[in-house]
Amino acid sequence: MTARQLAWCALILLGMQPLIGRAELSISGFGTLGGTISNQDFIYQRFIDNSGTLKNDTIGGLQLDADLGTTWGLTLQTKLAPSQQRDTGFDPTLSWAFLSWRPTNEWLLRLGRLRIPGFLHSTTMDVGMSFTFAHLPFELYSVSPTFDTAGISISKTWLQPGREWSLDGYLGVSEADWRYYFRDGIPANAPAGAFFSEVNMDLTTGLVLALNERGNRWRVGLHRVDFKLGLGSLLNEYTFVTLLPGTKIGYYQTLTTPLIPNSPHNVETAIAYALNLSMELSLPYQLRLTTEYVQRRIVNITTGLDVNVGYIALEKRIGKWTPYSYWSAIRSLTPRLNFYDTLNTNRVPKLIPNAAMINASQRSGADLYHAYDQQSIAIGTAYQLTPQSKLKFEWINTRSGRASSFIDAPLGEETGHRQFNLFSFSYNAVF
Amino acid sequence: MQYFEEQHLRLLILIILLFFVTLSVVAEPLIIGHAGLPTLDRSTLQHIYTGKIVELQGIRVIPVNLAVGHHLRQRFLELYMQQDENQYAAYWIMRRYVGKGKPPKDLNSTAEMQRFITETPGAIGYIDSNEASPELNILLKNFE
Repeated sequence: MTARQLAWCALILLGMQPLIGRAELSISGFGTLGGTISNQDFIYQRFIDNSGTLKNDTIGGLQLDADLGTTWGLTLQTKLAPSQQRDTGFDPTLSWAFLSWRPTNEWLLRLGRLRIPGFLHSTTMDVGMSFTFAHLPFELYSVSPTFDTAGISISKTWLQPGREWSLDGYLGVSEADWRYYFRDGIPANAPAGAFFSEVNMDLTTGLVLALNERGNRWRVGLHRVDFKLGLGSLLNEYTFVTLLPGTKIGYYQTLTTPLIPNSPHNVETAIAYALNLSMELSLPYQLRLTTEYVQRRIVNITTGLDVNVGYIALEKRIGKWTPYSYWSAIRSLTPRLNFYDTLNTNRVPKLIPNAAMINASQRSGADLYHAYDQQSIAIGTAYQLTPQSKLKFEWINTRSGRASSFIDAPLGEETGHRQFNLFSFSYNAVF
Repeated sequence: MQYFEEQHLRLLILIILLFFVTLSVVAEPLIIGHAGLPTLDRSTLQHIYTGKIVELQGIRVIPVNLAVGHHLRQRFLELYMQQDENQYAAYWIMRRYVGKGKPPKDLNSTAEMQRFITETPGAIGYIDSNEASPELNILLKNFE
């Protein structure tokens, strides 16, 4: 838990102390204990390989809800999950610490640290009991490093017979850590392996419009994030530096090469937009169809993080069982994939001074650029033990196309053109 | 022959009587509320028990349930909410962890329910229709 998170918690508790003494308190909790194993020896999604891991799926949390009078409330949620700042260990985090005000049936205002209404399941993605799948489609739910923000959220609801419209808006600031992975590293400068960089989001804002009608749900959301990386400046263009005039021998200036001071291509604050379309349909015979699509664009830098991603899922309730299947895919824009290939394969001959370092900077530059071309098919089932607990079993087959920044490729290898299977099991409960 | 016909008739009457006795034993939840609350329709009741309506005509409403497993709670969910326990629990898991409220409080018996509703302004709950009495504020009954 960071110092800022603790400060938020203390501030709210101190401010509300006179009311908390008279409040009606409710404590609840959630948890998932699960494991996943791959049939390949390279690491996927930070932890998963053929040794198996509990880290990918195991999480626990506690939530305190306090009624402070008839219209005010206080919610605190803390969770214990794999650290987002390193690949080892679990860290406690203050997920939520907000005041809520519900003056009428139609309005809800929340102030503090809260979760944004990002995608269909992003608000409850830590609570395995709140959805059927053993894993939410990773391609889509990895689009943002965090769905938490500190700020204000306003919800307006229109209740009509058989129908409910809602409009959620939010504005805040946030911080997270983004994991990078160098396949090879840069000699004498950066080792191969994972490292983490702070992402400071000076602005997070968005609007989500949703319609619930007779068990069906439609959502459209537009989100914007202005962010800075702890790595330093980002680039809106990767300049090619020719080393031998009249030839194509040279290197691209990337985030792994010294940046030109005051260059117009250096960008301090990146601006990202995400458009989300979601639909859930209740079909006959206890079938449920869910589909989501996200388009992410970072408008003022050049990066493989510009992606189109989506999934479609079908589930059927059969007594206590809910078997399901989904297909999900993510793909960087084609020009971004093309540049990733170009950068990744750019080499200078050994006769060029510092050739090894230059060549390593190109591959590492490609690692920082990111590229996604991946799809997965999942088949699984949930079994409802009680209204507060369920088991989940799942098999996923994943294929990478040209590249996938979700894969930690071994030294000297590529992330593309790989296929692997994941098997997972989890126990999920709330109280 | 006449003897056997009489025996069949008595058996039939006994079966019919047993049928009506059984019917009268099946719990039918009756929606009641604190004095001053208006009558409801099914849609409004569903919105109250799903946290989407928190006030009626300026009165803050406080819905309460019977404990999980109580036969009357099951009947209430079936008749009025058109859900089973799993579906109702799943809804409130979602809503709680979206940060938009918590489920109605659970009480252990209809006697406790009546006491709570009598003493708490805005309280809404349900009792067995067999326990109805004139002093109760009946908000919805005979759901069809």
